[in-house]
Amino acid sequence: MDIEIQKITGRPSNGKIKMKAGKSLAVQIPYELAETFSDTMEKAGAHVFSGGLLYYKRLNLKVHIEYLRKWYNSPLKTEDLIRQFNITDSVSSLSKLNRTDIQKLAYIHALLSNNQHIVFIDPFLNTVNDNIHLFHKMKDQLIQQEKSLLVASSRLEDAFIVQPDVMKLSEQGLETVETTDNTEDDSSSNVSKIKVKAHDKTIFVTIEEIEYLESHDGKVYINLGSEKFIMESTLQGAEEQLEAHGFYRCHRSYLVNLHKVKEIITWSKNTYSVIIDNSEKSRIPLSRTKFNEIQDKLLKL
Amino acid sequence: MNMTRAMAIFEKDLKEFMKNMMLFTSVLIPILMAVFFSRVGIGAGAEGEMPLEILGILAGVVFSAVMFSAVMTMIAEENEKDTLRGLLQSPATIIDIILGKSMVVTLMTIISLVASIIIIGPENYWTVENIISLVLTGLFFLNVGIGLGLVVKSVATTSVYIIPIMFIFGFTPYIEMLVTDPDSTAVKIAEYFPIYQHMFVLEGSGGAMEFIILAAWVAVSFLLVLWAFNKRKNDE
Repeated sequence: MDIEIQKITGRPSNGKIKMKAGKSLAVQIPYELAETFSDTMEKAGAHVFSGGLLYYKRLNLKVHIEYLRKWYNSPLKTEDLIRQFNITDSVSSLSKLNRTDIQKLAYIHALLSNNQHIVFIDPFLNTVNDNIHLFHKMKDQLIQQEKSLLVASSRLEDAFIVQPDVMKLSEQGLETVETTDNTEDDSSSNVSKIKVKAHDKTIFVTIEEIEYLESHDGKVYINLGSEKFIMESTLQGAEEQLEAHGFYRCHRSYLVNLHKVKEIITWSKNTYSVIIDNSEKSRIPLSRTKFNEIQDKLLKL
Repeated sequence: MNMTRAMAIFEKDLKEFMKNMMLFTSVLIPILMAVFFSRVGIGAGAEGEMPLEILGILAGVVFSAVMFSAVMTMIAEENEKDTLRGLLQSPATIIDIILGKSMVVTLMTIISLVASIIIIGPENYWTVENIISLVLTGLFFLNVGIGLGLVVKSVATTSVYIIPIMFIFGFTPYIEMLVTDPDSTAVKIAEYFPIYQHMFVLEGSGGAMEFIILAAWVAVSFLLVLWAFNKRKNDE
């Protein structure tokens, strides 16, 4: 199934999103386009799962699975699915369950659906790591079933949770996000603060407080706690400046403060995330090629 | 039409019906009314025989409170919560959904009606003619419920329709208490309403005419369903 980009962005473009059987895609789309994107995909005949969990609050998970299985005439077995997705409470009504439990039902729904084209929109907002593992389980099964999966997320780091090759949709069209790593040369400095701009103010940020830097649309953003600032530099430049302070280029578009790294999660064979030690537990993509190196660096820190 | 899908909906909605207090209590209302009428009736009616109007109104309550309002509420709830999104891949699937839901409300209507009639225990109720009149009246109420259910967007809006439909079509025989003059036009018009046809058939005074009028009501209500279908299709 091909979807023309111009239908989503409303601007002339020759680009197409190609959904192929047995293949998955990860696309980062701006938040403003999410709704149009969802409508376009639905009109094209894909089964779209967006944030809202559209189920019956009076019924339990088992009844739901049984109902969907019969509706789609699926050969999968209810008991197997309950076990596979670690559903512990299949008898309480949905109104008594929390969001992460109900989210599993959306994954199961995608497996049971007889639609060839499955689309998830922002599946990693408000979720827990266990569910991301289950999402990968679902993804593998969908691909085994020769279905095609498209994951659209508004945050780039979320798209990298799905797979290493990610595309980016913007007003300019569709482009592949490059993930080849640049070679870096050494240089160090003894500064403890760096200069960033926020509107009309210039702020001096203590380097130790920075959690990670990301490059996005040609700009470099500094993330500290809940705040985000633009830095007037390239990520390459920032890397040279901050390397001596224990920063590591874990991905082409990300520079992470190793002091703030809490854990590394392996989602699948070649998708990894670095978890930052903050209240949001931010998930930063980690390149496959850097997986071993970052561990060495973390041990020697 | 796909029977496995209709059965999937039937099983799911039967479970939901049992857990939805608003729907479930509607099944009990006619039964409680029957208990009430049977107590009062023994003193008032001749030889304990229940007046015809009471049986007519009881059928009207069953059809309007259970069949009509339940099917409308069930469809409206799906509309409101958008729970059918992703399930409606073709226009044909909505027919499976409606069929499944209709089976649930029909089952509940039969339970409610049979239980109420057994409590009252009238003679010569289950004649072939009367059962046909009940089926036709039921179809009319079911169609109105489906038609309005497809149009309304939330459960709250259904109450706007439940009361008028219940009073006009369910409690039609009560007009004789409001308008005592049997020759007035209001009573004459009311005598063409579905519940009256059922009562005439039950009384034994009914002929082909009553069935033709009932069939006409069913046809009109079916047109309402078709209109609602088209309206919904155009809205999407």
